[in-house]
Amino acid sequence: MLTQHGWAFAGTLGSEATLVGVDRSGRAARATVLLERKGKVRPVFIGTRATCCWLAPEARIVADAGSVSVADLVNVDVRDLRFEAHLQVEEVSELPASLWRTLLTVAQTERAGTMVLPLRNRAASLPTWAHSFERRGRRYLVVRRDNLATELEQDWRDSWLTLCRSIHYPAGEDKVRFPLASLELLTWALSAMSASRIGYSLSFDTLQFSWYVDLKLQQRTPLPVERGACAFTHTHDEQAIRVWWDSSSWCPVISGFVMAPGGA
Amino acid sequence: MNRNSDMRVFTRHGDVAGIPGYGQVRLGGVLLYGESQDALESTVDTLRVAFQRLVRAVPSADRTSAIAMLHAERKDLDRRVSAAVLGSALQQGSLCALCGEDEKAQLRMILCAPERRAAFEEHVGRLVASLQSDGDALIRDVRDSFFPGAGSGAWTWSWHIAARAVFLGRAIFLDRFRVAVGEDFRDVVGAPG
Repeated sequence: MLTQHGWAFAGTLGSEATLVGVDRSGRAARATVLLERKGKVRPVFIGTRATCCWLAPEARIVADAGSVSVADLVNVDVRDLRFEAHLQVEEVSELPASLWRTLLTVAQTERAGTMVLPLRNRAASLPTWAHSFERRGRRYLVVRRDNLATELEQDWRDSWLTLCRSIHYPAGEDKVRFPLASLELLTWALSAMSASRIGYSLSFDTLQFSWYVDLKLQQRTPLPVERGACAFTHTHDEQAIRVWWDSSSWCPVISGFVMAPGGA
Repeated sequence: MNRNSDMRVFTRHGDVAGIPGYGQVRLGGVLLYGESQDALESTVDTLRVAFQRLVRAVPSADRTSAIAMLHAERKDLDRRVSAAVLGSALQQGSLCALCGEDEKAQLRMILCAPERRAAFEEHVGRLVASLQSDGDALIRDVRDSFFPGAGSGAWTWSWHIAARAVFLGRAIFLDRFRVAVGEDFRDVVGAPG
């Protein structure tokens, strides 16, 4: 979910939180929401050239055709719908803590403020502020929390992009492959590119399904609204968190997608 | 012209353009045609269920082997039809797609039936535990341990288990045929506690 400090897992926000969303005129605005843990649901993945995420099937999402049910997205031609992407992060004061937590999800190991990450993309430039080493033919990156914090304070966008590109899988020229387990890192990377006006596009295995997301750097930045490019249902149930808000003129943002009034 | 045992499924409009009341189904980017709407939808459902049945019959598969299993039963089926129906089964959440990592550090998709996923992950845990005590193992030894007496395909199922462990950072491939325990990096990050 988009907070004033960037992306945060809904599960870490407590029962009440201030989120960043968009108002009726499309401007970023904050509002307080209530978060309630619900039972397990079967999430739905939705992707466009600009962003992608897992959503609860009961959620409704803003598309060019109006509010659409997330559950219905797997039963229609998702290319017929266009979705707005809102990826701007307002404040970066708490970035080191947020991004450190995000990196932990893909770290080989972590202890006492030092983590080891796999270096998979030999073609990508390496972060100069982190030490790399090779062992049994594999390369790794040692990231220290204080070094990361210092680097993020200088230019978080470039630092994060360089890091993400080096630890993910090469998939061709200027293209990096993110497994779906790395979506939170990807969302931060999309915010970094959005803030720097770096052109990119996301692509998926097929319209019906994808087990990865390819991020390609290119000249063109995504359009304000992009066609759906992939939608499918997860095979297993996951814990759902229901979001409640009062205002009919404000909607929260989840992984870049604008939720429609009626709850998410 | 492409056909299966239930009815003919076409990928070209020209094959049905002359048939009154022909059927049409879109699966992702592929349009399938049949001689009637009901029969076409029924055939697509039958093929989707066939994929579920075939993948459920094995511990794991990849896209190519899943399609090959279907084609072994339905030899005349067009590959575009089977690929589209497999995509449809994945879209509906009828089949699991897990990530693995091969010996060249490339991502690989591993398919399994949802009801077999827990058993697959349990095998991954057992492999990692055995690597922690033995250091490394040949894929054929993993096969003999996990799938004794199993015939064709067991080596690949074992390789899938190893590839999943590698993706999770708990093992590494020494080459295509041998997997070793993952590093704990104590010398880099320090010992626990």
